[in-house]
Formats: sequence, C-alpha cells, structure tokens
Amino acid sequence: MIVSLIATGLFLFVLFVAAVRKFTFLGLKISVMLFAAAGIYFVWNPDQMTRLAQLVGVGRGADLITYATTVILFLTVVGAIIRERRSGDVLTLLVRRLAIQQARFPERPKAGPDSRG
Amino acid sequence: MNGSCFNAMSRDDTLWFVIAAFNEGPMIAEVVRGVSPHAQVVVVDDGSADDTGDQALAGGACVATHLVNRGQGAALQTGIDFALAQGAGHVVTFDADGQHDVDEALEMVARCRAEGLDAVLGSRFLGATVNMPFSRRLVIKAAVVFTRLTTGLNLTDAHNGLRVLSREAARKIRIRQDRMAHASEILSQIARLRLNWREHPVTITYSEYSLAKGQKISNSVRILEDMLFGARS
Repeated sequence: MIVSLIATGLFLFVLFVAAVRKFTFLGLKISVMLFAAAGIYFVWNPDQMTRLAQLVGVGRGADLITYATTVILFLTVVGAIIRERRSGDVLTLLVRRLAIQQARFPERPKAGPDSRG
Repeated sequence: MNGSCFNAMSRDDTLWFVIAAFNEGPMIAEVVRGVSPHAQVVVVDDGSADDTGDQALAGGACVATHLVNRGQGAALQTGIDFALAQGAGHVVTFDADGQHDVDEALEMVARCRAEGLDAVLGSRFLGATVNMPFSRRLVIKAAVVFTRLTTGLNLTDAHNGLRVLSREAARKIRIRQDRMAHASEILSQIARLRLNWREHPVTITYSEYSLAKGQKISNSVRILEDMLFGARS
C-alpha cells in the first residue's frame, strides 16, 4: 500500500511537471503525460498490467515493466549524449572565436595593437 | 587579429602550416623551427596544461589558444579559420609530434599547385613508415577499408595527418568532428564535395615520443562512437 502511494505520488509529480513545463515537441509532452497517467492506473490495477503483458506476448506485468524501463532508460541516455554533444559544439565555437581573436604573434610589430584581440 | 608572423626572405607567406598541439611542450618549438623558414605557421594550443603555447611562440609560430581542450579536429578547424583569415593560399595540416617531414609537405604543396589540385593527402603506404608498430598498421589498414567503403575514395591511407588543401578546399571543408573522427570526416567531405585530390607518398617516423603521444588502438572505438553520434549539422 505504501509503495503504491509513493509510486502514485511520483507519477503525479511527473504528470504535474509535464503539464506545466514547456516541451520542444508537443508529442513528447503528451507521451510523458500519458505515460504518467498509465503509471497511476497500473499501480492500482496490477492485473491489467499482466493482461497487457500477455497481450503483447510477455509473460508477466513485471517483465513488461522491466523491458519498458530498459527501453526508456536507453532512449534517455541517447538523448543525454546528443544534448551533451550539442553543448560541446557550442563550446567549441566559443573557444574557437576567442582563440582567433586573442591569437598571439611572434615578435613583430606589424601585428599592431589589435594582434592580441 | 590582423598581422602576420615574422617574414623571412625565402618564405612563402601564402602557405600556412596548421599544427594542432596538446601538451607538446617538449617538441613543438623544434617542429615549428623546422617549418617556419619555409611557410607561416599557426599552432593551436588545445588547452594544454604545459607550456606548449609559449614554446610554439618562441619557435616562431602564431599561437591561437583554446581555453579548454576541444580535441584535434576542433583545433585544426580553428587553425584553418585563422590561416584563411590571414589570407592563406594553401593550408598544410601537420602533426605536432615530429612524425612528418617538412620537405615532403613542401613537395605536396608544389604538386597541389602544379596539378591544380584541391587536396593532396599524405600516404604512408605509398611512401614509408619508420618503426611503425604492427598493431597500428593493422588498425590503419582496417580504417582504410572502412573509409573506402563509406566514402568511395580509392585511398591507400586513412587518418594521415599530413594534408595540403587549396584555399577553396579549406574554405569548403568544415570539420565538425571535434575529436579524432575528423580524419574520416575530412575524407568524406572531400568525396561529397567532389574535390580534385591525389595521394602523395610520405614517410611517417614513429619515434618513442610520437608513439607515446599518438593514437592508441582504443581510440578507434571512440572514433566509431563519434561517427555514430555524429556532429552538428
């Protein structure tokens, strides 16, 4: 019972955050909200999860949850890697701009005062 | 940022050597001194922890410093951008660890100009290798096969850091792979842009220093990962 309540609280939190937060894609917002709503439903109707599992050819509801969690985790990690790469690209552009602006020239004079940026 | 590195009478000031360097303090000044009588040099100090930048400057190179390490691909693109801004007619990408031979690079430039090519790529398998470990030969051969399959370019070498690019080619090629996958990326862009390229035999000398600094086999896994996740479009 306590576990069910905690799980419900977590799904409600996800539902609330998804409802309030802005998403880049509306489809993602709807998917997260549906996922949270389904979570609440299945927490209180575990038999339905088992029926759903059997429907898609997986033995038990618990197994289906494991598989679904694995897939979601994988997609989340891939998404995080892609986001990290994009931030890295932006950082590279900034670092490059600074490096060129502040380039140092060996001795010489003709470089002028702006040779250091 | 205007200005140019000091001029020498015999030097070709439209020719720029671009050297990406990360923690190459012990070697970089010597490498720059080998090049600077012949061409302008820009060393991109890629966030080194040692005195690479100061050493390169003392050797006679222009130095552009990445405040944080961004990888060899990113550093080369910075150097190419810098050289183009300085009016480079041809750009040579050159390793910082003394593996490449300046005279061969100059031969490649002469060939690029004489034959009106967009790019001349160094090939250690048309030329020679000195002290090349067997495991590295194996990995590079595998990379050659991979590159042939993915780009359609009939190459004998891949991941060779010695290249000559005409100004137009250097302007068209944009390296977006910050790390080591840039070598494959440059080749795939050469293929996509239908640039006029040739390979040229070069000698790569594997010294104890360059082997310690150079790519490890484990890096090839990282390169594949970089290519898989791609770079920004």
